[in-house]
Amino acid sequence: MKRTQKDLYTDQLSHRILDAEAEIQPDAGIAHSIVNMFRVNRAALLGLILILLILLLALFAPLVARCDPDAIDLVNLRKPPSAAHWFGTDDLGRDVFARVAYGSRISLMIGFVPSAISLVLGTALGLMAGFLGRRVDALIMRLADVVLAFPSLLLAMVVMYTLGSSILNMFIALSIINWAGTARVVRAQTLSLKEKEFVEAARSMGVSRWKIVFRHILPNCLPNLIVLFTLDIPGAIMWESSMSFLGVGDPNAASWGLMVSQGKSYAYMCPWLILAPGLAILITVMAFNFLGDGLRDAIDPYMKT
Amino acid sequence: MQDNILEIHNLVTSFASDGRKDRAIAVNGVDIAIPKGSTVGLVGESGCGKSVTSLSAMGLLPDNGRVESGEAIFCGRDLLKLPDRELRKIRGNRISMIFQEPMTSLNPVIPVGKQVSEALRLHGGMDKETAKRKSIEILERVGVPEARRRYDNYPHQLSGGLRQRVMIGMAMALKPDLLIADEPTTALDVSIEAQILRLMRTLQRESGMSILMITHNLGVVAEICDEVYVMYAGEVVEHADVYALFRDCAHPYTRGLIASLPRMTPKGQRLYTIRGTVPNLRAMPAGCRFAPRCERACKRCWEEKPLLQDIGNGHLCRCHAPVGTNGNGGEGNG
Repeated sequence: MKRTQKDLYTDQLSHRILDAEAEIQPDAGIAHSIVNMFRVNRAALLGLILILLILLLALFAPLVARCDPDAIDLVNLRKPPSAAHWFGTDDLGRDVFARVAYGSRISLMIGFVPSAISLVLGTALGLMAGFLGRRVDALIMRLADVVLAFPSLLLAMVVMYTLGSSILNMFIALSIINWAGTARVVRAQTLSLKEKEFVEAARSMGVSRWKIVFRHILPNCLPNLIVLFTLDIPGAIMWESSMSFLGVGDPNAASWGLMVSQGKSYAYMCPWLILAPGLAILITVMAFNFLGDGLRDAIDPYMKT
Repeated sequence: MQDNILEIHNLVTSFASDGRKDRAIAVNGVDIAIPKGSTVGLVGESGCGKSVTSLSAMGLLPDNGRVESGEAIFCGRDLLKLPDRELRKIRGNRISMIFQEPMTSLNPVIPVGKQVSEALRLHGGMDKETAKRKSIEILERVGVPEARRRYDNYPHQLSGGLRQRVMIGMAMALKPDLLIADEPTTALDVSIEAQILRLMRTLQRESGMSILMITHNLGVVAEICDEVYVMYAGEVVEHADVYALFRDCAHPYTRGLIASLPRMTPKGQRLYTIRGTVPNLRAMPAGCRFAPRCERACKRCWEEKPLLQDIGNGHLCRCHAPVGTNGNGGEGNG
């Protein structure tokens, strides 16, 4: 077919339009947007720095704390903070600063492990429920409803009483109360994603069902999962603190929650006994919440394309 | 017939809806033939079953949809009877689709170039390097500027027109025999629409594929199609080649559609509209489905269902009183 003058003109025009289009957007990825978020959102940056500091504290606890956290000193009982004992000593003369430093290991573990377990479990079940639908969906979601209908603290305490007080059982108890929320979020996302045109397009290209789930649906849930995970961690730390405070924690794992619980009888006379671990909990939980909120803000626009 | 790439015979598709025992018939006995190398338009207003027809043939109906009967013969095989595994080999490879929304048809978390090369690798069995080189070629071919740089871009960094180009590139990647384009330009503005249509035409000339163009835009039909099927309420009401259709359309519905196009007529005239709305799928009139909205409807139209009949030169029309003829049920008879 012969090309007319008009064809040539529209060609030129369309090239000009395309060139203009090509300049619209500079290269930017999701990582870029997160870095940008830290630049603008000071709270998230503070959260990140605090988390890094707490991680360093947990990692290098023996270097930071000069005393053995379990060394009993019956001469120095319940001494207020001093140069020798920064956060004072407790009712057995143990150095509170050392105990807080070493306690960060337990508390961070309590934060991470059950959150990770419930993330994996909740994601797998949520994907199955959302994608397979019908009976699988009904089964998984009713199970989640049962878990969510129970008061979480009560459920976790029942699990701890049944299985016995150990840190492993604490992981199990916290995972049991946490997975249902993740499963719900993932299911809801899956339900909306599987109706998206790019999933239909993938199906029209002959992509198999499992590949659609793992290549198209899961990666699109991922940003939300990261946010969910960062917000689950402080939740788990809080649950553990509450349970330790109520006396169902592992009595041998010197977590911050346990320290508050043990210090509560001396709260008026020696406030440092509960203030030190209490502030540690507060700062850690706040740091993760700040970070999670910031991440959500950075990731959200990507989910709207 | 050997010269048709896809033949749909007597397709009936139904949908279940919440809490109802009876299923709504969305497509009711549709026959469509797509000759090799030509572009066939499927026209009708929203909800007339044009998309459902193509989705049925591809086995892509949503969970509540079901093909009740009919066949879709593609290269001697009935797509409706193929197991999913076989159908997957045909989808994307022999038959590709492009969808209406270029904004959401690409996975937002995968770079666009990667999506093209994944399409290539899925059926082409290429290694990563070859697929990448090939996809950059394809992106260039469909007019994506700076294809090499665009390869690593995410969909949100591209404009709608560019995204639709990428979609077309993806659909064309494996040189399919048939491209089903479901309103590919509806979401684009007119200048981009013209570019996309031109691109599709060029690619078709090069590869000799057939196109099924699903649209409600008669301008697009006039621009690109060779033959047209007009659908109304789940049925084909008229079929003709594009010139015959625009010159002497026979069905009152088609005539209404064409009459309601804006024209460069003097100011102040009201645009023609077809009165009323499409009847409910569950409460179709006993006679002609268009009768309640038809200006020419007579007693017979209300009582007796018209058949799709040849009114000359392969021009099919489902009407007792086609426009331009003095058919046996015509105005005088009312």
